[in-house]
Amino acid sequence: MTRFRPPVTLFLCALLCGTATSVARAQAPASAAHVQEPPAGALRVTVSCVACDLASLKAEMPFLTIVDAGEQDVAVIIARIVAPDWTTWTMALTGRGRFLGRDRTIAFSVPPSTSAADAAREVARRLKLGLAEFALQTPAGSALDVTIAPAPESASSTPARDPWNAWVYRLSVDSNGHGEQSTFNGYYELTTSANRTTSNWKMRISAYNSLNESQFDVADDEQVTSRVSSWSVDSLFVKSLGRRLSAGFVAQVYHSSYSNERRAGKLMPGVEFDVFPYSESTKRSLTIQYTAGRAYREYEQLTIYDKLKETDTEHAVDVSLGLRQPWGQAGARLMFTQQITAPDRTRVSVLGNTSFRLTRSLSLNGSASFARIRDQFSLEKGEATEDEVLLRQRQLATGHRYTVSIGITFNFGALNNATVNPRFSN
Amino acid sequence: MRSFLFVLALTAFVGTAAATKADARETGQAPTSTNQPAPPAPQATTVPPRVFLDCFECDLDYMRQNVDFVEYVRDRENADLHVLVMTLGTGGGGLSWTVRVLGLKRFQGQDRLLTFTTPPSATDDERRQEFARRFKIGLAGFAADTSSAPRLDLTWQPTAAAKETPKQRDPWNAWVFRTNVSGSITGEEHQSSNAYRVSLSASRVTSNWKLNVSGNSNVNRNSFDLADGRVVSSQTTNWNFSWLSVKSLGPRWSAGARGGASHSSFSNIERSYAIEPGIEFDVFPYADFQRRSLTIQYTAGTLRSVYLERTIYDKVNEMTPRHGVNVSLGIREPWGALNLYSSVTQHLNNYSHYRTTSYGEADVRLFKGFAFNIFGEYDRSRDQISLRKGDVSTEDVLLSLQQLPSTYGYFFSFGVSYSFGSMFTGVLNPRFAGF
Repeated sequence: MTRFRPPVTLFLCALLCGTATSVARAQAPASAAHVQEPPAGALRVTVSCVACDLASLKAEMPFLTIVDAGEQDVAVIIARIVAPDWTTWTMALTGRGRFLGRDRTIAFSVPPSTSAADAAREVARRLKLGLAEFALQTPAGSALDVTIAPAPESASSTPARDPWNAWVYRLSVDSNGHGEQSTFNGYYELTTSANRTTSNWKMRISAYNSLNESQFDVADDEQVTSRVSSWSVDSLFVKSLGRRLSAGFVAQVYHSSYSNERRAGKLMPGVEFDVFPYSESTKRSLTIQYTAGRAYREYEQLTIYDKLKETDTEHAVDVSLGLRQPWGQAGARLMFTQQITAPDRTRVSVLGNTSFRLTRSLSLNGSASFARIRDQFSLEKGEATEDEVLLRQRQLATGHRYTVSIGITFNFGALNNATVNPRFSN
Repeated sequence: MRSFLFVLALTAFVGTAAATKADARETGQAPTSTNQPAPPAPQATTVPPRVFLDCFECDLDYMRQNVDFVEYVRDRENADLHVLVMTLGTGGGGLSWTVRVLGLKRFQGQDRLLTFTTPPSATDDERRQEFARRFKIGLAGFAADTSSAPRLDLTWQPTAAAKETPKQRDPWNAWVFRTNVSGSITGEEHQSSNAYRVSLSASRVTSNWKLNVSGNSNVNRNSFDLADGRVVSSQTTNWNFSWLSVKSLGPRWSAGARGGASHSSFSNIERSYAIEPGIEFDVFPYADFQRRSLTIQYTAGTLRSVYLERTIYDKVNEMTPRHGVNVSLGIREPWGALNLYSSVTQHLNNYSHYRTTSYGEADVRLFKGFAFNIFGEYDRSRDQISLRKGDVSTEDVLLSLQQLPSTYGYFFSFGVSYSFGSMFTGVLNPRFAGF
């Protein structure tokens, strides 16, 4: 980090100026025809600066009014220090009245080759940034925004001076329990992960273990107990191949008592293409992903195909759309998986959801999904007991699964009422 | 299986080593030379503000992708600015945002406060855009002499509507009405369920009065095919109509009344009616509600119930006068949040019928990288006067269709997390997001 320490040989071109002598007055700039008038109630500022072109400064900041000393919301004092190799500008902003105590000093340097016009623009730009927080609280605030130019290409994908090189490690334990005299439910989950995310690589290695147990006293001497457990160790490595293409693989070892899988593993390399650039992902994305690989499964109980373990080759296509726009949001997904070694074992899933505003008062949300299931090869042989069915303790045979939900909300009245009243909120 | 574990470990190692090496080249973190030339003139190249964004309502991915002139860090201890965001519902159904910008390290003492509201009609995208706009403007000054500054500019683009900002007269006199209808169905070959809900409300919230009338109705159905050919079907229904009227009596006192009518098949109540006036005192002024509140409330009233089936006390209907007191503490500070609540209600026609409820929750960042959350609730119930007489079937127990006799109930949860490594949240990389 370079820190400015002015040498004693500096040539002092300008010192802080007394406000009595050089407070900027509201003057008509040369280009007055193009200057917008500040709105009523605009921020009132005094600018004290001998090295500034106050007319152009005012033209750069039409959202505020430059006033006489004593009437200001913010007092600005600008000084310039010229050295052989650089010129340093210092701006002291002091809040007054309702902004009392909100002070800030901004300092920056420009090379001596900088033209006067460029230096003036730079002073105005930095001053605007400093005054932004004050102007936000005036009638002009609703029309203000900060524009951000793209970072230079040379900028690194991870901030410099990171001794961990973007790796983040996490360990967490969560548990809960609830019950009454005749019922109990307990849950715990242990999760650990190591992540490294940069714009070029995405790496994750994680593991979790969970257990959900319920007990019910259904008669004097009878108790129903339900246990569902699962664990997983998985890793994901993804390499960016441009703005729209990625390649990666997932490797996973897991257990699920619900799915009758004692131990199972997958190694699935794949590629993904985003029709929109990934850099727009929080607004819109349409990805098409293809993965293919080997899977190994070892079952807790004999399956409906009389297997205790099996290995297969499978592939999958996943098309996913996500939109988050001012009118609302929508998502849709189509997934197809198939065992290459047994092509009739397939699953096709379609799902969609949306939430959008039809008018200022009327909004609608809904979701739907449908799955055609032909791949329940891990199903436990034999019939499920009544307890297992009612407590959803075990996966049941089915050729399809569907969900539909819809909601409509209509609001009207004083929707702009911004009053907050927390009384009797319990 | 061993081969899979071996492959997993091997690929993890190879992939990590290759990628780390590649990124080290890209990010210029290869071994540095000790003979680098001295930097030229000072260019005020201090690093961008490091921000800990402490916000439940915010879309951090959106912020990282669209507001990248600050560096987002995972811990307050690494931050130059702690941005603590709190929201509360407004009378119009929108959100009132309070953004506390707390200066740390190089910005010590430079605290700022931003407040604004978003309307109820705002979509998620509009809410995150407005938050991002305020965030950018609020933090622009902190970045004005950092290495981010050359990328920033403040623009002002007034529209006709924004210029006028007329004070409009409210033809609705602050009343807001809401209706919602929703339903869902889900199913497989041998099990299915469906649920429907209708809700209506009318409210008028001003700083002097709070009036609320609301109603809702719910139906939930489940069906299961058993192996022996039997079909187990269940249905629970409930509806509720309630009203609340509160008058402000200064910065710390309020008086009000609540009442209503309800039905619950789970609780064996065909219909019940209640009215309960009360008074409330906040040790801290209500104006500090988002940061801290300590309220004490006393209510007294009566409840009339008509039961679906005869109760364990051989009643088919009854009138129950009752009163109750509750104390509630809420704190939200930079270290985390704390909520404590305790209440006692007692029947005035039978003092042995009472219920105590206590709960507490804390979400605390104890030190760098370490956070825990804990929630605990314990109810002691001696007021189950609506319990059905007779036995409860196995299906009713397993599907939670009926209230069961119990002199207590509890719920607890505990979570602890520790993280270390890079202080930065990292760039947003949405690739292979499905895994």
